[in-house]
Amino acid sequence: MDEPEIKAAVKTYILNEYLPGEDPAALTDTTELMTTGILDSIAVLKVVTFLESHFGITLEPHEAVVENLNTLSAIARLVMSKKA
Amino acid sequence: MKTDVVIVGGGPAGTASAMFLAREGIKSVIVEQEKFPRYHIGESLTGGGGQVVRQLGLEAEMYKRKYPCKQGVKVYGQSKAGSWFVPVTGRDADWKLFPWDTWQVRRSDFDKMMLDEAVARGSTLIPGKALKPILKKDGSVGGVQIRPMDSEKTMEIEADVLLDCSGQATWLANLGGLTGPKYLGSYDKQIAIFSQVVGTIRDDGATRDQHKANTLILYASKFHWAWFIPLDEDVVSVGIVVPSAYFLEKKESLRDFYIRELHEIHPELKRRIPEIKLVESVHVIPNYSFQVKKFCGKGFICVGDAHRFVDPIFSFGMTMAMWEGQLAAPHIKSYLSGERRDQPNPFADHQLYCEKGIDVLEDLIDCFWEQPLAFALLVYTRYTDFITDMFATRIYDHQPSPALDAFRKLLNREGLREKSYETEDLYSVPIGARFHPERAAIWETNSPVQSTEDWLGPR
Repeated sequence: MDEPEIKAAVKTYILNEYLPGEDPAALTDTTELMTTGILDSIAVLKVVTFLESHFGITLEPHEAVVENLNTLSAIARLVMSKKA
Repeated sequence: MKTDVVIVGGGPAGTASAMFLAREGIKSVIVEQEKFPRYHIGESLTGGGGQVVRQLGLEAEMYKRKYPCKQGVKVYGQSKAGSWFVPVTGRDADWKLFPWDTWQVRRSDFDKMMLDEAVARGSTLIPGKALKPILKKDGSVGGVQIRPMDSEKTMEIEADVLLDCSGQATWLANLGGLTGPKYLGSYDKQIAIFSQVVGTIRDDGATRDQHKANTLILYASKFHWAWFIPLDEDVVSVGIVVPSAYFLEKKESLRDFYIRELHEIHPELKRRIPEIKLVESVHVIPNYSFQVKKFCGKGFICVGDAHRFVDPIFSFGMTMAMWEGQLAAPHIKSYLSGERRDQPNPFADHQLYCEKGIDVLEDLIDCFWEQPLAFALLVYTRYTDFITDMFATRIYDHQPSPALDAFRKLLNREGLREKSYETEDLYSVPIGARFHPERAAIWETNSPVQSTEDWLGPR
């Protein structure tokens, strides 16, 4: 699975779970999810759980920081690095 | 007059200590300067607090008095969407978790009940003000000098052991000389403003996380949060904890500030308090953490807040106070029977045991503030049971747990705690204080700044 595919899967998940009815184009690779409050901490945890089960990875607690989870790009980078 | 143990302070630390001592057949005198019942903050017991109350044989009395039966703590995050719930649990003899309950207590009533009970079990209450410890020739404490209420004369109470249960007044540490220095901890720039409200919207009790007696914690931003603690069917204690700079900036009266914050700090709090009706005046206290090093010595032990206060967010204070009273009793018994009299600190084992326990709580709280997301991840998906233990104040046995190790790793404290337990240096820097390296002056042996008060200036 490459980076665009990871982004697409996470994007679909976030749109379905947290932004139902939203125009998919409004959620770009660089849309800030946490710092703008689109996702609160509980929602982010659910995203983490999704990442772990969907991509078969396990995050270390210190990896659960805003920098790694704030945008689709950052999330894809994190998943790629964990799968590498 | 003469007794075995003299206790300065008649709050839960003092009365629980007196009752656990009475169980060992040890006589005590409690010196209390306030007339009970009196208002006091700190109204929630953890699961461990419920356990101590049960060990004191007071469970039936607690139910009879209809203290709200807390099932857990619900924490609301920064936006409307999410909350997480930590249930109150116990561990059985095989260390298996089971659901339990504990209580919210109106302190005026609870503390009076505890004091009456301690007296009923043989302790003597002397209303008055403790002035200073009496020292024996060998330097050990041999009692306390007091001024009884409504008296001009002082009076001496001879006792082989003195317990400082004076709470945040830190009576013994402030007198200086016997304990080690008092250090500031990580949290010192906040104030807590609180009162009691009626007419709130409570959950309806269908499931444990929806129980009407639960504590709610509403987190707005770092060091800016609110508590919601039901005290009976109608009255709820609500407190706002904010950076003191933020309070000063607003230039409002205490009451105006409190009332505005109730509706601004968190949407969930506003929903729960549609119309603000106060049934208690608005109180304020500085919320600063501190730690007294060497809080035990020849003939004395500081119990509870009298030696350490971390942060009130998860309601550990009253539980810790009573728990430490229970822990101290067997050590006092053996000291009274003549053991360890020649040692520089006859209660060193007790001191280290208590210190290790509170360090667990400090690491938990620091991790909550410093790494909120990682903290939530650990609570939710990794070590829920171990963290439930910490929230219940099961912090002495079965520690360090994998959850605690994870917290310490996140805080870059791996190995630091262990190292601090091995040093005998009274002036070793408490780890919580490491957030403030600029205060190194306080920690140095020959520092011109000798106390927290020196550093902060008059408050």
